[in-house]
Amino acid sequence: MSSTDTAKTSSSGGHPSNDAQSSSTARQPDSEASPFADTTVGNAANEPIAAGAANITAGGSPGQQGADDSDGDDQPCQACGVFPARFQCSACQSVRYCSQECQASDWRIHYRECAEIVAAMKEEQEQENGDGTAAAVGQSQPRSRTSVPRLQQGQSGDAGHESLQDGQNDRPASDDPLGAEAANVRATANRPRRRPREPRRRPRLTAEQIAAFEEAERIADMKFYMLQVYKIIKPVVICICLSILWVKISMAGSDYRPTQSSYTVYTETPTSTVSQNILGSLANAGIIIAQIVIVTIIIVVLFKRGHIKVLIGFFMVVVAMLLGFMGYILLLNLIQVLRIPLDYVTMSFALWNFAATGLVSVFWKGPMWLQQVYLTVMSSLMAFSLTGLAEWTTWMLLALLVVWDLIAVLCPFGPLKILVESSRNQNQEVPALLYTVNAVWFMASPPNSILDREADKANEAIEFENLTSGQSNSHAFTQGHARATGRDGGSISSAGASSRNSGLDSTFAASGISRTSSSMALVPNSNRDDFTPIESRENIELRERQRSGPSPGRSYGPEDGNRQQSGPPRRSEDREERGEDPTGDDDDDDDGGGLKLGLGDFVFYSVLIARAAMFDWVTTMCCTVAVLTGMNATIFLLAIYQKALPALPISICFGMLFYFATRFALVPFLAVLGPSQIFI
Amino acid sequence: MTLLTFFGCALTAYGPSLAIFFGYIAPNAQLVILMVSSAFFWLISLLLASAIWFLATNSRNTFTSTIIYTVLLQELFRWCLYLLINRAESGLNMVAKHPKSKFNRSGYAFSAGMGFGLMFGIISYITQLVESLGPGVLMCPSCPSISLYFISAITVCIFTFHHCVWMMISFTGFSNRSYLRILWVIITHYGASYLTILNSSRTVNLGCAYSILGNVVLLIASTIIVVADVRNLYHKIS
Repeated sequence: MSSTDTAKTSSSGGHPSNDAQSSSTARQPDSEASPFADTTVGNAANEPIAAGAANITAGGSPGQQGADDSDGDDQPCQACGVFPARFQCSACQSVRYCSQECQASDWRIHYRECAEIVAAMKEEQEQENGDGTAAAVGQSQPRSRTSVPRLQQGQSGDAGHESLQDGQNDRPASDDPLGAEAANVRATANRPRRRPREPRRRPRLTAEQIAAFEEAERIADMKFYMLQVYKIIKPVVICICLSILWVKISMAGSDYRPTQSSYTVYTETPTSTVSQNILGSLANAGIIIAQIVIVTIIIVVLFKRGHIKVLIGFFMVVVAMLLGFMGYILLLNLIQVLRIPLDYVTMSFALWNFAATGLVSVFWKGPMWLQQVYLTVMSSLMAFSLTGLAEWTTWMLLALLVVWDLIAVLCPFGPLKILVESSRNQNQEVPALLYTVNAVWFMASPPNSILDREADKANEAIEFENLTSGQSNSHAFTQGHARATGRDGGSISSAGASSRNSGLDSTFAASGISRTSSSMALVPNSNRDDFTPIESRENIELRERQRSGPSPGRSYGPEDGNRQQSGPPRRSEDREERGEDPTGDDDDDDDGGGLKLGLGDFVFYSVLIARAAMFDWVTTMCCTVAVLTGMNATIFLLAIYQKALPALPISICFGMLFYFATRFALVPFLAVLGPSQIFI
Repeated sequence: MTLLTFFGCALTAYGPSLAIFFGYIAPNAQLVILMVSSAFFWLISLLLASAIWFLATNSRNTFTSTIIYTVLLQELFRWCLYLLINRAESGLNMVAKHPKSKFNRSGYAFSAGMGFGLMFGIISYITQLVESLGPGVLMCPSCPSISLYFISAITVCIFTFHHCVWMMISFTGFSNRSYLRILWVIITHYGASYLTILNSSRTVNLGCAYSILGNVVLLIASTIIVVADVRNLYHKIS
């Protein structure tokens, strides 16, 4: 297949198929793509399996293949960006390089997309060639670590060994045997979360290959987390901006500001002393936190007992109340401040529609963007309702939440941790439960079908996935996750995305999904005026879902020996774990589709910034940057530790620190500089 | 004057940098992350400066001394940011579109500079910008016919780009150990800051014009250095 030399093929204008035919024997009809063909042609020839004669012939002038192409010079070197990029990847012919070194170095990044392209080409080839002869073997590249995938069919056995031996002599040659492994590896890498139904054969890897593979994994990880941060920043920023907007509007002279919860026992007055404030706010915050803790525990118990429907029903009530009641308050604010003439009939009709649409899209089904919009709006509404708390109480509550978050997620007996573990233990059950819980599962179904298909034909499936996943590894990952997670809301969404074929979208969707799950969590929060604890429950649910997602990943993991070694499986597990937890507040989880940030995190980030927005613009911006940086740092740690982490502590600590520093030093400083127009 | 002033000033001050942000930085995950962290660094430097200012009760209104430590702290954190990016560079490169490209570093430097610049623009101008929504107008002391908001908006815009080019020059300077470039950055930073004192001067006629013109000249000079550096890089490669 892919092994055909690109230059040749391109010059001949034909498909690789010609070469393939000429090639001696294709051992494997199915063999997947050959990665890289160019440079190593010579080596490849030696390999038994190695590419057909065609390659060899082509091989004579490995370097120049690219040069022939008429395509021209308009494409820079993929690795270094330099211009005369005269060589192209012989397998896929889609990228160009200025030298072999560049190709080799880029291979670990390029191999995935190469595999996809090659897979597509292969199909054509096979059609042309008929069954038997077709498969060429990938040739090897000296450097290619990942190497060509071997045949998945298993023919590779003998040949594979031989080739390996060759390869060991020079590293490059080894590909084919490796290739098979590589195929597995790649497959795993691409869709870590996917769980094939049939166990895969374990490839034998040399130490080098394993190392190379691990490096590729590391890079894929990096990319994955990078993209996740990127995807998560957007909704967080939007949520923060909305909260700021609500606060600014309500502060512009409205009579309908959210009021303090009736649960609080202490009311701050301008005349009260600092010690009174501290003690009183501590009592207030303690009451709220106690509610959260109790609700969390109840949720954990319900979850362990499997009363998912109770939880779902509860969440639905909470969401309806949040959307209806807080939406009503916000609407009153808007009407008053913007002086909109509106009668009650119209308003109640609009509000009803708003809340009902929200319920349907969150718990049943709806377009992805709508769900994301609702989740974001719900988070900002929650945050808005929390701005009714007195200032001291807010800070005390945030500080206590940080502590609770740490305890719940990291302590051996933290409720969230227990929740995650129990969900893990009940691997099979939990996902199903979660699945049902997420009203969203509907969306998931298409992806599942895809998965099934894939499972049936592993190779094809892989190719297919690659194609669908599109270019970015991250996509593949997310999709994989999503599929693995399957039932999780997140996975569902991602699945939907994958069905759409848009990899990026899928990631985004995944984040969106996670949000949805989180949104459920939010809902409880919204009740929160009354029940803060509820939030925690929701988070828990989310976490549960996340977990469920991960569990599938695991199942898949065992299947692939390689992966487990390489660690993607690990990662998936971790992520699953992450599905986490921080109860009310929480964290990121990445499971299914990617990192997940609990709605609780959204809410309390927004609460902090909304509180800052009630003071000053400069403070608001400082806190925003601090919170975002804290979030980035958390995700960075997540990438390092690969387990569920509390998302609140770093961000909230930065945010509070910056709030007070800004308020007491920076703002007066700027108040002196600003009017004098001194810029520093 | 209210909404019109607000939008005019906002777009003058932030328009160009936002265009660059959405056009170049926003599509790249690693650049966005880099920008956020560099904004964070700048913020820390300014918080430290404000802490010093807060403690130095006697010289609170002496801008010449305030500028000294503020600029120095910013340059110090620029160096810290460089050290950080230097360590993270291999990771960043892995994720970049062209992992081997020699121009990656320039891109990182530019995004980091944009983080500094945007944060600078927001922190030092947003209060005035919000005030410009109000019914009143403040006139610039040295150019009484122009509103203070507009002069500040132009200065903020220039400073944002200043930060970008300073970051690029100093990154080249740090990595090549070219002390001239580092010195140039520090000197021009001081120069640009001291020039803005003219804005509020009541003795210098048209002080704001001198300040803006001087800053533009400095910006052009720095830009020439940046262009020369990048061209050098290009020639080295090819």
